[in-house]
Amino acid sequence: MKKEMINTNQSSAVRVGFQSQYAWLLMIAITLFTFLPADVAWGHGERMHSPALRMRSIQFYDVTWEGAGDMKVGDQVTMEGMIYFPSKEYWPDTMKVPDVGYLQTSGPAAVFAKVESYIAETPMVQSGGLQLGSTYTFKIVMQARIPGKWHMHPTVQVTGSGPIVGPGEWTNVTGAMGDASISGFAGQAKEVVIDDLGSYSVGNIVGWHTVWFILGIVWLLYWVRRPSLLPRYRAINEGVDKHLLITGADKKMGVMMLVVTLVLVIGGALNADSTHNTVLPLQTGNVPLTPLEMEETNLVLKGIKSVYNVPKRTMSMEFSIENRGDKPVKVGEFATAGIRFVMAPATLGGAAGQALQDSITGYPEEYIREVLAVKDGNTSAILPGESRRITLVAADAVWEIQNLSEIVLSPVRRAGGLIFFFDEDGKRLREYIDVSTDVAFN
Amino acid sequence: MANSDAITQALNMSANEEKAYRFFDLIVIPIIVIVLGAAFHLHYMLTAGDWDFWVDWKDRLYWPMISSVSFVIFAAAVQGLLWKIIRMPIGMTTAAIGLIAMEWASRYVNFHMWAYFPLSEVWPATWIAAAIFVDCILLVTGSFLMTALFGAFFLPTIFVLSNYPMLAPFRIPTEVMGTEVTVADWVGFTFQRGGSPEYLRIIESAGMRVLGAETWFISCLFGGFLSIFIYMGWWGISGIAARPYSRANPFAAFMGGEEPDEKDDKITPDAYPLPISNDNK
Repeated sequence: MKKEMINTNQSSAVRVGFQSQYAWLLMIAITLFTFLPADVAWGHGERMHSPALRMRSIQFYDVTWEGAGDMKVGDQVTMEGMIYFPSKEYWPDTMKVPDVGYLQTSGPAAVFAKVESYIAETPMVQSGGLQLGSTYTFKIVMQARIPGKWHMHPTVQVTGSGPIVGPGEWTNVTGAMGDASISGFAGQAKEVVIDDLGSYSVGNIVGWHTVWFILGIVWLLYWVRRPSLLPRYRAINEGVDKHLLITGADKKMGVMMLVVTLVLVIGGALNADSTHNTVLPLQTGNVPLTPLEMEETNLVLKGIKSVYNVPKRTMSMEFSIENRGDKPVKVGEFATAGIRFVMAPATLGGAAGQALQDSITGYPEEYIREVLAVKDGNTSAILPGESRRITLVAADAVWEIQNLSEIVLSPVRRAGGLIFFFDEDGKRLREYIDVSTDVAFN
Repeated sequence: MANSDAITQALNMSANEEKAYRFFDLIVIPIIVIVLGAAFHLHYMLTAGDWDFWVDWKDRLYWPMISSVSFVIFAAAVQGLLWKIIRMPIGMTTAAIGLIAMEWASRYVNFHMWAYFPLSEVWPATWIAAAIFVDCILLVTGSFLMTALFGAFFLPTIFVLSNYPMLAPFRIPTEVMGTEVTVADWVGFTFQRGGSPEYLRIIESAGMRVLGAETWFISCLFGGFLSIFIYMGWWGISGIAARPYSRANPFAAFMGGEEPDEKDDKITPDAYPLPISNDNK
């Protein structure tokens, strides 16, 4: 008896007045807090990956978004470009080797439908085999589904490592959700017409779920139509005749439900099997992907070091370059993590300057910074046979905007990226750099 | 919805008593279905989530096995509990109806309305047919062992067969960019999930263990075999819930009450619920 009192009465602090009389204020405050307006989250975490990994893993470049901008539901945007995988010696130790990868986009959920995707012109319905030290072309065609302002990035999902996100472009989709759909054919002889893949067979699904819900509820109501919880609990504890708890009629009902259930289950399955005569398992085969042939640049680039200056928001990158080709070249661009730091095209002049200008025309402004400079001001061409030490300087707030300045706090202080040179004919030559990064605080 | 039946009459209940107990039924039973459904939904989504979320995860190998193992854990405990305390063979159906209702609510509101995934991609599988089947086996046999052997064993089989009419239209071939895949693959390709690439699907792949491609049969057989033992284990565990143990609140003194004495500070098997006998009336 005393135990009961302890459990029910004396343990209740409320009853003996120990609880603050203002506790209800706290409860109201917490409740109201949940109604505070929440701002729209426009991003989807693309800037939150470690800068050491974003700068030193997959490099997207020459990305174009045809059809982006103002769109209507049903309009398509085509993303194309190049994906460069650094070679094994530069690939971050903390990331798994990307043997298998999958091409998709990063963006807010399924607001776009993926219509086509290719790596190296190979359809990427399934994952594909990738190789380090290789360059691949990619193409993704997306169809707008949901009205809104959406940011869309090409993304390579790498097995064991996760998504590596490329640069994104804004789209402003207008219209209504049902204005367009994805349609096609299915079946062995393409006899099934799919008008809208998003609502395909939903009526059938809802129908079968309804059948089973009705049958389940009939079964429950059969039992709970009679006094249920406490009378039956008492009956068990007080030894009432067990035939009152489960009667002969109950057993007959059980047999009938069993028969109805089995007839529906087996009949439904047989009917589905005969209706759909070709039923396949889900497809999982990976496809091999052939990279582009390596382009000989006749340049030998050796990274020396880099320094990130925190207050000046500046990355300085020092390297040596030897021109073993037969044409003079000029440095024009340093690209990393989707950000392009470029020289003023006029600095390169001639065909080289024009080629650089062409490559940045139409590129999203948020990823282009025309701030690249050479530390000693020597922007002259590197002549055939010449070796030179160059320190590139990229000073811009974009280091902080894109969270790349977080390299300061990274356990791996290394920076990487692509350096583009241009010869006098405007031909672009690509080299990869990966160097340790010091941090300067003044 | 009667207030009186042979049981209340055998217990010599007064009309007021019957009415009060019936009122208790009407209040508590809906709460049981909703609370069990919510708890079961949480459990099922954490353990068999992706196989149930996405149409292109409902494969022949893992989907029947993992879904059955996850389902039978909770459903067997609820069935055991309701059988032991009120002798009603409705536990598994109650759990299944609660689960599927919660799944539909989640898929429609969260997946479809909020995240824009089409229903053709995120429809839930049904468990109600399999649950009715096992409940009926329990009723007809009256034996938990027979229910384990002839009910739980067939859980994955009934599960697959009852969902097959919904799944089959998604397993017919189609062509996407010149590659033949199933409609389910096409749906997964088209309405993409962030961070959930194709290679990440844990589904059947062509392997040496496929044994003549009879994957459905093997996975249902093995899933049923596992379900027998898990069913027996959780039926047993439900016995603990049917006869809960309790102890005096050791923190009572900190909450304004009295510290329990040594005699009360013991875990006792019969403290709650109090056995209802004539002495306690």
